[in-house]
Amino acid sequence: MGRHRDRLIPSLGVGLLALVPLAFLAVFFVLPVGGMLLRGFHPDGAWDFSGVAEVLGRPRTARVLWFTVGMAAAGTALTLLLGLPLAFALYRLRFPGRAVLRAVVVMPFVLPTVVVGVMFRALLSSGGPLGFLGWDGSWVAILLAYVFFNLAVVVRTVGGLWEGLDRRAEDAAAALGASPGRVFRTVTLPALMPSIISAGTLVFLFCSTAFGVVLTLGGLRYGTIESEIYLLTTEFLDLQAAAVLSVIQLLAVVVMLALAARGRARTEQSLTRTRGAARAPRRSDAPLLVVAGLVVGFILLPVLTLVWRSLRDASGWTLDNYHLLADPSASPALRVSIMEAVENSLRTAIDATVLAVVLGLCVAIVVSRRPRGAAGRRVVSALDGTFMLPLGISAVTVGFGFLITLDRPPLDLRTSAVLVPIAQALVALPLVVRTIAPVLRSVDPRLRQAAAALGAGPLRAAWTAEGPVLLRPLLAAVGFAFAISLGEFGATSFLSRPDRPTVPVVIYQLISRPGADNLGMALAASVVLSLLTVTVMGLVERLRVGSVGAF
Amino acid sequence: MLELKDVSVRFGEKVAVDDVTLAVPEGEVLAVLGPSGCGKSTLLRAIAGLEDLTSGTVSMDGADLSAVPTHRRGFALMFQDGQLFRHLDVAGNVAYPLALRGVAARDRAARVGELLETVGLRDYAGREVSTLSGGEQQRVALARALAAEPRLLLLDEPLSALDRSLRERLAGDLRDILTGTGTTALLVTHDHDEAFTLADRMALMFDGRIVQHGPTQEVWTHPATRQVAEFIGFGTFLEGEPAHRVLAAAGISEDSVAEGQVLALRRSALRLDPAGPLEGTVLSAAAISDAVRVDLEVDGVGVVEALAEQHETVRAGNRVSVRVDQAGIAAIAAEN
Repeated sequence: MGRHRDRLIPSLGVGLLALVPLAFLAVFFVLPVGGMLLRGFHPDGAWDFSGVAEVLGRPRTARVLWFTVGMAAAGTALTLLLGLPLAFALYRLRFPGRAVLRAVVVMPFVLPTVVVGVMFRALLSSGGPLGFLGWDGSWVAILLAYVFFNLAVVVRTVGGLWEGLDRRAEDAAAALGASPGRVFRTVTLPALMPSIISAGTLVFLFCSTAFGVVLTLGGLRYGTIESEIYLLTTEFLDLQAAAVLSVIQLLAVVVMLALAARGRARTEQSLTRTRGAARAPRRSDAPLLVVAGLVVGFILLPVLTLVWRSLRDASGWTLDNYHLLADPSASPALRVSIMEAVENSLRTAIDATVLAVVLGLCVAIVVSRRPRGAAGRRVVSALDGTFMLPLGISAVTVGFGFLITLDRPPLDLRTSAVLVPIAQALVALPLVVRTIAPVLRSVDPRLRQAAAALGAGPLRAAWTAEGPVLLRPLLAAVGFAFAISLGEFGATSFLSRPDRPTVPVVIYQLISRPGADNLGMALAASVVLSLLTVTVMGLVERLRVGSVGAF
Repeated sequence: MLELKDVSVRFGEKVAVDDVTLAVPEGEVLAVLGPSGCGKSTLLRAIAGLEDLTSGTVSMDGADLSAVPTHRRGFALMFQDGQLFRHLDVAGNVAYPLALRGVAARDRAARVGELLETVGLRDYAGREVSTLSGGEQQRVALARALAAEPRLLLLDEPLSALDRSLRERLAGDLRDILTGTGTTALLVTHDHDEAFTLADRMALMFDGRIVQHGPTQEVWTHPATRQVAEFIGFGTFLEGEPAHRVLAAAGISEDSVAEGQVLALRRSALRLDPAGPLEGTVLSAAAISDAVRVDLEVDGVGVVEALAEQHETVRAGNRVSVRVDQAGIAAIAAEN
């Protein structure tokens, strides 16, 4: 649709719309990260780069870099491989229970990374159902956790596109003599490519910046850049080395995002969305359904293990772990009861969600415009990448940067309760944008032009053309932001005040102490948090299904 | 030769295709004509092997196709909106079935050139499909389908998405190409002009059933039921004394409309003519593409649709004379 460029939304209005999130990003992202880097390279009032070569020369640094990249690549490949059959089953086929399965697949993604770590520990440690494999403490555990955590990204991103893909192009290819495998390779796969690139980029970024999972499963033996930054700043107080690693990570992320944006630009097409492309399963779908079933089993196994273990102690079945949750004196590790922490978490999550969705919508509208000039297009593309940055840089760095830069006038927010929601909104923002923008991009600009020709002003025209398709991705974005905020750990662990911890922070405090009671409560609290997030996502999914006509 | 015997397709309780028996002899073009939702697209998909048959058989040249998957049937499928592969250019689309058939890479370009020449797109090989007009996309889709050298070409409303003048031109070209290549084809459409232009024979489909099946000309002049007649353009239905008056005016024996039959008239059968034997009062008139459409109350007959020459000025309330042409009248069963 390259011929139908925008000329109706004045670029001035779009510029203003971009200003709000840009200002937010400048204050709450660039400033803290910059402050952090300044600490590293400008320690005593003078630039000092001598440490860079020294840090890069360390054998441990090289090992960490290779491990990070290798594991992220393997995790991305495996997630795509297992996610595609599942996306097919959940978005191309129609069968009872599909909505439930979709929610199940999303669940791991909204689970706190700490909880995911605990789950795989529970699953793979001796005494767990898969303890005999001996994978506890090995890189395989981390890889499996990566896949577990990121399947939702692939299934939802690719499935969302696949669902609306016109089946008749595949039919035409089949009638011309292409076997099912060949149809997939030569017709379906190229059509899905934008979403595969998009999902693959996200998964790679998530894997290479995984923090909670690596910390709980890898310990000191396997470090990724992220956990290494954390250890360097908190354990060894080596801010310079942490800064060097942060810069490497930031550069790598920028390069990757640029590559991904180029890939997307080349493959993105204006899609004609069709309804009812899903069909009942056939016998020929059996192999794919078996794979999809195994993947669902892989998702459910750690979850069920967690629930099972939370309901047991040495003597057998028990609810004691849950009774202790409401008791503030149950553990000396805690200053509040877990029920109070749940309340804190909910309040924080609501603030963070509102912030993330409002900002994300602004960004999505801006980056989905197609300006007429090449310069304008470059600006939009640059903005698109800019708002993805918080994804790539570690939440740990953001949290730590907040602590060391927002502690003096005019922005002394250290004791303010707004710091946690702001940090969480920052973490959720890229995902909100990624949920809304592709749908806005797929709206033919001529719809807006048609509305304008009928006398609608620019805003009204945009609302008429894009409002109806916006409902579903917006709801999905709200759910995503809320769930991410509920489970956010990296930045929150730095910023939450001791008297107002969120649930993930409490869980981490519990599992980092020895004792069967603490572990039991951590398991029970994990179950409660999981139920909370799963319920939210279930509601979102239900709402989405109820508004199918919006497309 | 394609043969369908007692073919039914059900989706749960809903019967989309109900006990259809049809045949398309080699080199012939059959049009399945019916309103949207009548099951004709499902029938097409069932023939292609894209829907499972609930009962009945589809066979090609005597061989049952029930165990043959779509891609081994040797057919080709062409949709209303082309369904070109957007990640390939024009040549890539046309070469797609050539690669599937194992045509050597060096021979493909020449064959693509021939096919594009056939559909009138000689210099389009390197074009992106998104830069093509609707008509050009359909031509590429046709070239792609012909490249497969299909035993049977299945066309799903191939011209419906195009504007009128383009549709007429492409319809003529399509007809010539199908005849020229001797391609056996089955076409489903709701547009009777499309069916009439392209097909040797027609099958009328309503509610999943074939209600009439025969040579195009025969269906056109002798619709079997009132439903068929209305669908292919008969607008006026008369019986009893009014029917007799019209028959007399046409110079046809009253007996040609038997007991239990009604007289169906296209509006082209009734023409304003000062020398005509019938008289009536104009109710309304409206210009259409190459004539004037007139609603009038004919004395002793009732309200009918008729045509006037384009240059004639016709106003409501005018008294006019009407002539009856035999070409646009048919006798059909009163009930169905």
